[in-house]
Amino acid sequence: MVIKEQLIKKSDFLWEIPKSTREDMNVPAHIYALEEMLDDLFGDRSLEQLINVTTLPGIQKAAIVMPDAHEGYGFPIGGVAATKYPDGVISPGGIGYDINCGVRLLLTDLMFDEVSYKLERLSEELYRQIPSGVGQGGSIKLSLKELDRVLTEGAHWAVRNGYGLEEDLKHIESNGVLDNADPRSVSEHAKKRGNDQLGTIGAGNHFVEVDNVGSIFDEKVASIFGLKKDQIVVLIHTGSRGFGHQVATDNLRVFMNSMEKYNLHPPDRELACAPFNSPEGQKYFDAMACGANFAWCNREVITWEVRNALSNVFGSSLGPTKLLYDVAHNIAKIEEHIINNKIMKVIVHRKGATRAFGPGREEIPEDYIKTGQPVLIPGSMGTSSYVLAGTEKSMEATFGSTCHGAGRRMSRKAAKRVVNAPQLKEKLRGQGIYVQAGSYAGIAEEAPIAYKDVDIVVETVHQAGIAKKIAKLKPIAVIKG
Amino acid sequence: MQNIRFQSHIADIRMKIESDSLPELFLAGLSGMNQLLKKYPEQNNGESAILRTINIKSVDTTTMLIDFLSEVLTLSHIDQAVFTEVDFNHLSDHEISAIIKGIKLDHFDEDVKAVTYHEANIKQNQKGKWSTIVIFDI
Repeated sequence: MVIKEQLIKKSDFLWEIPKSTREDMNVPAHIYALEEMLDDLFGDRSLEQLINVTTLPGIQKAAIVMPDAHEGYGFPIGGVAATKYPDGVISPGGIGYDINCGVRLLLTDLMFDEVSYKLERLSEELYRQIPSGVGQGGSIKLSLKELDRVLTEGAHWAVRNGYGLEEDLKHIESNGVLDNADPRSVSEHAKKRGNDQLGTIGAGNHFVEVDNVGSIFDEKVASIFGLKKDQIVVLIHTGSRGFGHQVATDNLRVFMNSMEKYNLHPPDRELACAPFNSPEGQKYFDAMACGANFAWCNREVITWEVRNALSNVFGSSLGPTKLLYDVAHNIAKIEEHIINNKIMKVIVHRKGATRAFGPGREEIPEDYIKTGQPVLIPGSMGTSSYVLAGTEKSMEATFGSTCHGAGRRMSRKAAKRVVNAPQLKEKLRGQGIYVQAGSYAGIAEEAPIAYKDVDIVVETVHQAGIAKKIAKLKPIAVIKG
Repeated sequence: MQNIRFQSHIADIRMKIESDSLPELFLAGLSGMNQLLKKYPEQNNGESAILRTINIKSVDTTTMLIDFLSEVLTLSHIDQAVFTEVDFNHLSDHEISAIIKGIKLDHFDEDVKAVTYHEANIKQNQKGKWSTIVIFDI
């Protein structure tokens, strides 16, 4: 077990666990956190899990964890690791069960004073339009053949079928589709779990949130992003639903049974892995891409539902609702990074971490090429969310990655014990935040007290230079499962 | 004897199960998972029972328990059902073959998304009791 005294302070925001800490480490571990945040990390197994990640065959430079870290499965949440392409390993534990869980931000042309008197109606209409909650299916029921098209085409399927706009696609990470997706690599079980879930947010920490742009930190970049003070924007946070979970479950089982063949013995079952270029590794990577495409299509269909809700409430006074950007925070991608002064192709695992590519990277949309890509950081219910921009420093230090949210600090059970949900809902309403949720238990579990302070998390990555603050969003309506 | 206890977990649900035998440990795991999915399912009247066959081979007994619960969870989602009865045709350290019987539900109480291998480790103590932790991703 690692102790605080073993950490080497590299700066006020960066700590290192040296490679010598445990015999099986292949690289050091890097922790982005303020000193006062370390106690939370020592309160669970995050750092033990981070050290386990450093043992993965083919890992490069360092295993990294962001300031919103907490204990996960295999990797800690907030974990980033890059393994050598093509013979390093790929691990579902470095991607998460909810493949391509992610966030997108929609920009309206409405200003706060135009909507404030209609907020309750807007929240009710959003709740009516967007299916949410435990096991809730959507209105789109897909045949297995049509689902295969979703898995292959991602968000493009939604656009082709009238659930999205062509111009949205260029503002989605990877343009909303991973080309290596192969539906033949996905089990029938996964397809059956996913065939009625498009356009649904599910339960847990997923939500749709209407925000008011509260503060602008960088006017120039905010203007390029299309953000202005008091503008109404909509944040969507969800992923690949039961489909992605089944893909992860199926492949963990495959990897568990194939590791002996490749002489792989990770220190944690949830770090089950396979060489990327093995048949098992390739099949998982292709199935994971199907999960990612499902999630992008899901968020595009939810965007259509949001647009319908906005249109129903604001009618002809509403102009076009544009997509600022859509980011994945549970994914693995093949990318090129500079490691030891050489350009290397690596398999970057981001698990509860957001890609934060800086200016000039060809992967980001042309209109953001000078600013760095938009990075979207959702806060907890009732607290602020942020728009950041990727930086050159993140390219050098973290494989172009940054944090993904506030990060839990209290168990769901404890939150339900200490939070009076009806009172919280009323309190939030008193603060001008309308909450629509499937259950009071869901409200209690996701109460702000259960999460770390997102302001500190964001300030840490901003000060560390691995993302730059652009704007702060204040929630005014929250739709939860 | 089966003992099922739900414990605190930062983001998900941790369950500790104990039993007098290995088959009972599998049943305890199933019973605990079902309590999360639906606390009070309606009684099965026999006519609406769903039967499914499960065949699993795993690298060890702990992995097999998690794989078994995962498979039942998947079928629960696909059939929107809880499977409350199990007939083991075969249960060894690495292999399980069983028929499970369940009932349809209108909805689940909790969105149990996955059964994880995290912290799972089947042990038998000196008194012969079997136990393990199972963590559910919700």
